[in-house]
Amino acid sequence: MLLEADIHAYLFLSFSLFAVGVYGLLSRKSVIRMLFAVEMIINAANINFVIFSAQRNVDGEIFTFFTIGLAALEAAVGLAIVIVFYKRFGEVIPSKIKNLRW
Amino acid sequence: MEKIVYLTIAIFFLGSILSFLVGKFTERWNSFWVAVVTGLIGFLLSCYIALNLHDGAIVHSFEWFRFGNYSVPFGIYVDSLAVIMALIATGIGFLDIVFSKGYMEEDESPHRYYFEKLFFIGSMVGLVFVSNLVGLYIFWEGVGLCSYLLIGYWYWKKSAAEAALKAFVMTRFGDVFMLAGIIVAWVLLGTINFQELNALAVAGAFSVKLGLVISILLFIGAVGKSAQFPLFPWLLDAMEGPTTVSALIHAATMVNAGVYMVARLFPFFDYSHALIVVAFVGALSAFIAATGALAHTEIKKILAFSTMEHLALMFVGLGVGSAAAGIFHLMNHAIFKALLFLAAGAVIHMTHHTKDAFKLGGLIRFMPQTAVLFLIGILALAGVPPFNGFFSKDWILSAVYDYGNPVIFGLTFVSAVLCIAYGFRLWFVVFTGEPSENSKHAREAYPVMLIPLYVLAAMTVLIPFFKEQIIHFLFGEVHEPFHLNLLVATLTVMFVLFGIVFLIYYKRVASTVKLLMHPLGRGINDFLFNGWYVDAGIKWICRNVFYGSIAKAVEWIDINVVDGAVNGTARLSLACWDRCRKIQTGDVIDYLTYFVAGVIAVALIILFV
Repeated sequence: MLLEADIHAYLFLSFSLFAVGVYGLLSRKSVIRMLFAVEMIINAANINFVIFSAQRNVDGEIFTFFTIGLAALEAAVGLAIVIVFYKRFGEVIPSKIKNLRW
Repeated sequence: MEKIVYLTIAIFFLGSILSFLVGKFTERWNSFWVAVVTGLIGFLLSCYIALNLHDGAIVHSFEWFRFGNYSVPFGIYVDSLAVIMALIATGIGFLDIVFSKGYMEEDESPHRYYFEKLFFIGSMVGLVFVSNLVGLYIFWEGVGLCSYLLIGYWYWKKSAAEAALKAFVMTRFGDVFMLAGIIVAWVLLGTINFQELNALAVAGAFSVKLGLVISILLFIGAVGKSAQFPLFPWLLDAMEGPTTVSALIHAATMVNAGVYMVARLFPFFDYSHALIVVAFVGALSAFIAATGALAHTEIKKILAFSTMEHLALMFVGLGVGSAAAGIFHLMNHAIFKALLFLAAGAVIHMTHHTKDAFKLGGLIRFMPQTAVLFLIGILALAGVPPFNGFFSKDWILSAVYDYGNPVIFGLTFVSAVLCIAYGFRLWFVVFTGEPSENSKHAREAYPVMLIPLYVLAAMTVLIPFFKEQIIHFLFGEVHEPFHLNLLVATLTVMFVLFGIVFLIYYKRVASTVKLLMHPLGRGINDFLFNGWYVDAGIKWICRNVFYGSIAKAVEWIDINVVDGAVNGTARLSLACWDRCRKIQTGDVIDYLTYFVAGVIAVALIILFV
C-alpha cells in the first residue's frame, strides 16, 4: 500500500518519462530515434498502471505485460517500415520526404 | 350589320395568308391576283357599310377575356368618321396594290410583299373600327409591325434595316406613353370605351388635371405614330422602303392614325385643355417640316417632310377646335399625297432608282403623263383653288385665324404657303430643264401604274364638288369660318413664292449655288436639311443620357453588386483555402506537433473547464 506522497513522486517520474518521450518524438530527425521516444512514452504509461494498481489494490499491473508485448510488436513493424523506407528513399529522415503532399 | 364590319376586318387577314400561300406554292405573281381581289372586296364592303350608315353608328361589343375584376372588352363602333378612314385605307390600299404590280416588277418575293401589305390594310381597318383603347392599341401595334416589315422590305440593304429598326423603336417609344395613358384611364376612370370616355368628359365627371395627364400620355403615342416634333426623324428614314409602301403607309394611312385617335377622343381632349398642346406641337412640326422640305434634295424625303407638315396642319386644325377641318384635310391629304408618292414611285422606277431630284431633269419630254399627274398632285398639295387641298387648307387657316393665337397662326401660315414653294421647286427640278444622264433612258410608266394615278388625280378634282355632302356626312351641320382678307393674303403670298421659285428653278435667272457657298447660307441649309438636327439631338440624348448614365449605372451595378456577390463568394473560399493549405506541410514532424498540441489542448479543457 503506497502513501499519497509517494504516489506524487512516482507520477512525477512517469510524467517526466512521458515528457522526455514527447520531446524526443518531436525533436529527433531520424525515424529510429523517434521509435525510441515512442518506447519511452509507452513505458510512462506502464509505470502509471503499476502505480495505480499498487495504490488501489487492484490487479491492473497485468496490463503492463500486454503493453510490453504490444510495444515489441510495434518495434518489429516499425523497424520493418524503416527498412522499406530506407530502400525506397535512401534515408530515414521523414522531414526530407514530403511525397504525401502535392 | 356588325357581321359585315367584322368580315371587312377579317377578309384582309385571311386574304394576306391566302396570298402568301398561293404565291409560295404556285407561280409567285399569283399572289397579286389574290391581293387585288381581297382589296376590291374589302373596298366594296367598306362602301356598303358607308351607304348603310344612315341609321346611326353600328355598335357591337362582347367580353373578350377577363382577369381579376377587369373584364377586357372587344367591340366595334362604326360611325361616319371611322367609315371615311376605312374607305381611305381600303380605297388607296387597293390602288396601291394595283400600282405595285408595275413598281415591284423586278421583285423576287411578291408573296411576302402582298402578305405584309394586306396585313397592314387589315390592321388599319381594324384600328378605325374598334370601339375601345385596348383594341385600338392592338391594331396600332399591328400597323406599326407592318410598317417595320415593309420599311425593311429590302432587308439586305443596311440602310433599310436600320431605318426599319429606327421607325420601330421611335414609334414604340411613343407607344409606351400611350399604354401608360390607357392604363391610367382604365384604372382611374374605369372605362376604355371611346364613347364612354367622351361622355364622361362632356358630363365633367373627372378632374381636368387627370384628363390632361391621360390626354398628354395618349398624345405622345400619336406624336410618335404621326411623326410630329420631336419623334419625326423615323419618317424620313422610312423612305428607304419601297415607294409604294411610303405612299400607302407613310403618307396616306398609318401616319393618320394619331390624328384619328385625337379626333376620336376630341371631346375628351377638349375638356382636358390638351388641345392647346396639340396645336402648339402641330404648328412647330409644320414649320420644321415645311422649311426642311424647302432645303432637301431627295424626291421622297421632300415628300416625307411634306407629309409631316400636312399631318401637323391636321393637328393644328384639331388643336384649334375645328375637328371637321382636320379630318377633311386628312382625307384630302391622303388622296393627293398618295398620288404624289405613286407618281414619284413611277419616276424613280423608270429612272432606275434615282432618288436625288437634282440628278434628274427634263423628264416631261420622256414621261408627259406622269409629269401632268405629278403637277396635279403638286397643285393640290400647294392648295391652289380648284383642287381639294385648297379647301381644307384654307379652312384650317381660317380656323387658326379665328383662334387668335399669333404664334400658332404665324407658324401655320408660313408653313402652309411654303407648300407651293417646295412643291414647284421639286416639280421644276425633276421635270423641266436639260435631261441628265439618269433621265435620258426614261420612258412613260406602264398603264397599270398610270391608271391608279388617274383615279387619284380625278379624286383631287372631284372631291371639292362633294365637299358639302362629305362634311355633312361626317359632322352634320358645321359652321365653316371664312375670311376674305386671309384668303387674298394667302393667295398673294403663294403667287409671289411661285414667282420666286419659277425664276430660280425654271428660268434659272438666279442660282442658289452662291448662297450655299457662303458659310451662313450653308449652315442654315444644313440646319433645315437635317430637320433642325432633331435626329442628332435624339441620338445625343440616347448616347449621353440613356446609354451614358442610366445604362452605365445599371452596368456598374450588374458588374459590381450582382457579379461581385457571386465572384466574392468564390474569392472568399479561395482565400480561406489558400491560407488553410499552408498547414499541410507534408512533414510528419509537423503533423505530430499538431497532434500533441491538440492533445494538450484537450487535456487543458478537461482539467479546467
